[in-house]
Amino acid sequence: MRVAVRELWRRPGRFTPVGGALVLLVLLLLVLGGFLDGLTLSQTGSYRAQAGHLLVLSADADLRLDRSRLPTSAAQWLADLEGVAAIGGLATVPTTAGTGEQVEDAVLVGYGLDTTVLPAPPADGDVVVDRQLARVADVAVGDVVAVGPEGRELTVSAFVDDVSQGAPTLWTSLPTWREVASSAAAAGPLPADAVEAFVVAPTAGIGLSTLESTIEDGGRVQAATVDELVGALDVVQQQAATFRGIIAVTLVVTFLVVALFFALLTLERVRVHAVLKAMGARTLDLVAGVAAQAVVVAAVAVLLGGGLAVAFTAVLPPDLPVRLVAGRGLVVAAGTLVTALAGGLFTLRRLLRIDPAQALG
Amino acid sequence: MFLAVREIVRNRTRFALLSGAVGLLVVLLLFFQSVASALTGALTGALANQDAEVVVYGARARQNPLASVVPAQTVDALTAVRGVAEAAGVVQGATTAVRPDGTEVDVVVVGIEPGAPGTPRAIDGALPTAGTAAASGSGFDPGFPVGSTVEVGRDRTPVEVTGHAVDASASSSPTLYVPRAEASRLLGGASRTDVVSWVAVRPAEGVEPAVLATRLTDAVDGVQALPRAAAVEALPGVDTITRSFGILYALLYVVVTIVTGVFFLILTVQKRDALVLLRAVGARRRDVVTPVLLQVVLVVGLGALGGSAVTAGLLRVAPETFGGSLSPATASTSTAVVLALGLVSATAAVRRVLAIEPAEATMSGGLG
Repeated sequence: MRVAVRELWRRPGRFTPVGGALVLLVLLLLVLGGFLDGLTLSQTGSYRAQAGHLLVLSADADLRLDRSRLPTSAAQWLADLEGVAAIGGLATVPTTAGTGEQVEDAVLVGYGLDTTVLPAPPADGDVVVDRQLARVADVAVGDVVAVGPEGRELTVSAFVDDVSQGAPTLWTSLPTWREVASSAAAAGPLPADAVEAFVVAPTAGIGLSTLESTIEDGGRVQAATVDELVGALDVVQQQAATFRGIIAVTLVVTFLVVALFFALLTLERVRVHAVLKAMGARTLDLVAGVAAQAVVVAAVAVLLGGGLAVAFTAVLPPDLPVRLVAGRGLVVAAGTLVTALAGGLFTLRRLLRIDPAQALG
Repeated sequence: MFLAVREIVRNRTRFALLSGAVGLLVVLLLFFQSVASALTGALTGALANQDAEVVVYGARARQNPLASVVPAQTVDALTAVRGVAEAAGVVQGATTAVRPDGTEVDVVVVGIEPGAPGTPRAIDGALPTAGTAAASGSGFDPGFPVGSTVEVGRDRTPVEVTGHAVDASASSSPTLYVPRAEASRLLGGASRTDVVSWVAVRPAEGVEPAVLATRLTDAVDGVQALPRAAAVEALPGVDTITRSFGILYALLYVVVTIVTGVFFLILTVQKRDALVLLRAVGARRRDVVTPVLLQVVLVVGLGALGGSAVTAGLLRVAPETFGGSLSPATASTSTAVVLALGLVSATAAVRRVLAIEPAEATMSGGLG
């Protein structure tokens, strides 16, 4: 194994081709993962902003916020339940927002409860803005944004990060939301006495699952955690399955590439390996050497590919849904190392067949 | 030819590995193209395949039919503009529907004036009337068969599907075309009758849609008019899909080129001694270069064809996952590009082969 590592050190050029191909494959894997995470995160922001709370939806909503409608009168019933510390309504509407001539797609959210992500609901006429809107449009705190088809002017009071829901979100009080939403679409607005959901904060010491059971008792409504709601989004699940399939196929390509190159390298060094065997090296030593080379080359490729992916995604336009997430990076790194190891060991059969007598020519 | 094929046969494992890698990369490429095509088609079908050549939105709608609101009386103002043959309001919104088998799906309901501008260009079956609809699948979802009855909206209003609107889905969802008055009811009791989502305009004969669109935007307050093609391109998501998948295509093309190029370069270096010998015994440069290029064509070509065949099979068995909308022309073009890139990638190997001098065979160490 020491010989193999030394060879890597002394003759890096020999491994540059496979390393270069692996760097590109790691870049591809990370960009694919970036699209998966970017798409998922950019479509679930208004859910994730409620982390640590429960969302209560109508019983027939199938855990979908856009299918849920609850009468505002249900707030009192919920507030009286044991384990409920605070409650606030939640309602969304897709619309547009912008300053001056620049108008962007946006989702206006009416809310009534602060969370670890969201500040307390702003005063009527004010709006808390997703920082993504500031990236695509020139908006600052204190600016006025015109929202909806009638251009209702709302004053930006604060920014929040990472709360996009297919488009940048704007968070306002429920009365202001209702005022804008009533004219935001030609069809299907929420009735004046309804919200899509209620957000419920548990009292200290009460677990979310306990509170979920309490709320759902009787079957009048559905209660769910943020993770359960995100998991119920068909589009998120479908695109996750699709991208995972693509990433798996890319890992198979990585395996084939590593196997191919180490097969060629082994072929080139049959006589060297035969000499080593003739001098007493065991087949296991040769296998360990090839495995070490494959892992080291893959590790370097992961580092370089990772750096390249960070640089590459940094220059992409901000409206493209690409997000590099550390957890995904670690999965890609581990997958690449394991796949490269398996690819390197593809030459095992050839190494086993090397006869020490071949050293004599 | 003889040498090239014999070498592939004798070393079939390594060539099969390369062919397999190229094949899988082609599968990925074609798969991306299919998904992108299905997504784009499912987003744009309703607008692209309706019969009005000019589309009019609310001025602040950002060319988004779901965010657009146009006062109903604006339709009359638009009709009065010179060059307009006919205009009709369209209501568009999202809701849910229950299939005959009981499954619930997201749908888009489009309210039209049947036969007026905004009606899908191709409907197999009857135009919608009260209580009936023309349905379109979305590319990933076949939609609702003609003759079935679906329950639409929160009130689960039964609607009989009497026509199939061809490739006319909106927002990537199965789409139901109903009379406009019905749409408001299906989309929710609080729906407004004093507004429409957008207005479909048919120009008078001889009037250019682009010219009319400019004229309408200038003549009527609070609207933005676009020719149909521009409206399709401006739909939310279309540009993002095109650019995102473009990045993935580019990365895949680069990977195919590098993997193929590096493989043939290593192969050339490894058999350099044999090539020197061939040159020394009289083989011309062309005789040693042709087998390399032939191998590229055979290995990459077989990989690309295999990848295309696998993709075609996947699209056939699982259209709801892969979209199933890959055109033969797109597949052929991609395969040709991969093959061309394979040949380009062999440049380094070919240069090495061309640099070989027959005299090297006489030098110390010339044949290893």
